[in-house]
Amino acid sequence: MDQRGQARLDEFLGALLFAGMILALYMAFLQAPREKTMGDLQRIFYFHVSSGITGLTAFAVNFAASVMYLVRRNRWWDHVALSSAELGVMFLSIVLVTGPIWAKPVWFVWWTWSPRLTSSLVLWMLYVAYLLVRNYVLDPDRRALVSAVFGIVYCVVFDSLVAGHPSSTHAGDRRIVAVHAPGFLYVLGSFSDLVHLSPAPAFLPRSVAAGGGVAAAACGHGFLKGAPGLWKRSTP
Amino acid sequence: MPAKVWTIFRKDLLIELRTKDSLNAMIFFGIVVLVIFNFALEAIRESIRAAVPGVLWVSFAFSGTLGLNRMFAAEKENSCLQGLLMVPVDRGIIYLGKMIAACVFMLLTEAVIFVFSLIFFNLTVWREIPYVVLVCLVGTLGFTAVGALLSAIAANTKMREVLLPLILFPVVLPILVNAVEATAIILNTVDYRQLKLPLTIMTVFTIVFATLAYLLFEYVLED
Repeated sequence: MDQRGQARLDEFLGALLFAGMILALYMAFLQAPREKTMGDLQRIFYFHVSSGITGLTAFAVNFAASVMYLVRRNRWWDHVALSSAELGVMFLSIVLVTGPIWAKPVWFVWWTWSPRLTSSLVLWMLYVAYLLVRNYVLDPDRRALVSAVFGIVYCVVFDSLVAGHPSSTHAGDRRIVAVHAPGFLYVLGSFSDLVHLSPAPAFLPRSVAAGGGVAAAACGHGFLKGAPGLWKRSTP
Repeated sequence: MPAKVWTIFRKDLLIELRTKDSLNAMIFFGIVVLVIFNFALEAIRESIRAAVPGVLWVSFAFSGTLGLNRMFAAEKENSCLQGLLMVPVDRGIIYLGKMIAACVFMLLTEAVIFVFSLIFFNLTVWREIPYVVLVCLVGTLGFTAVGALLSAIAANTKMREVLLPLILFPVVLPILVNAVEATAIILNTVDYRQLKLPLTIMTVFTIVFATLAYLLFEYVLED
């Protein structure tokens, strides 16, 4: 695609996502009915869950891009990996902030060390470390290589860990994807603000986000229910 | 292949036995950590036995990190790494050799730290020892399987000593969690059948991780 075509696609996706964002905000705050027991507090789900799906999707993209970099040795894939790691950390941060805000009034504690919470926190730490490592390797080629190795290792071990144990509150259910579609749109929208953080062409993360979103919605069910739990402990 | 791994391992072992650089530091640091914990846990002196598994593994992990930091940093001196890379073997072999060397050093350190912990915390163990050895062996293999790979990565960055703990501890968390749990089962319960789950998780993690690292090591050391 030439420069102009790319710029136009970029603008188009940006506009689409902005519209989606407004629509999602409207649906999350006005259109969705007030929840019976939790009240307006429940609306945090529309952000919490969709950020979680997007964050995990971003790490999955990071994994795929890391593998592709090792195979193809094309810097383009490294850019994809970096932008998806940044986005993943961003969205997982949203998850980790909104979670306790919801949990304090409902569970009466900010945090419990349940497997799902712990593994989400660990996943977040891992990708923060990933971004740190990238800062400390000076040679760009080595940086790309090393972080590709990181991306693969992290994703294989931990994405399956997080996805692996649905608990009573974090159950893997087909309905989740449907319920959270509005919030998901919002999240997709916010991708477009973040793309300028990374050196990849702007349209890229947006397409990644859009594609990843569809993929996440499609396989969210299987993914959440998927791999057998490695940490078998009671959850709240 | 075992012969090649053995050669790399023997090289590290020889260097270590002649200089005793890391082993001394690891053992001493591990004991220092024990002493610090002794004061940190002053308030629960009566029920210290419940806290010992956590204290032990923190001490193992800290002293192990010290050794892992040296592992590839030492190779950077006098360009030894270049020499190592010229050895006509698969890079994965270098990883396995390094990993086994790190594992052996850590186990030696752990043995000393464990004896000291028995003295400091007034523990009496006898029948538990074979199980503790088993858990230490599995846990340490897992720890060094991750550590040898990340040590190689960290050695090539500008902040190597600082970076290794940052990237290592989140990854080895599953190992540490289960090792602490297994040790707690050994020291504080009588039903050793519960050991099966943590040991299985640690073994699976170690196998998956070591395989991945074996395959990916060549990219980490590439110039």
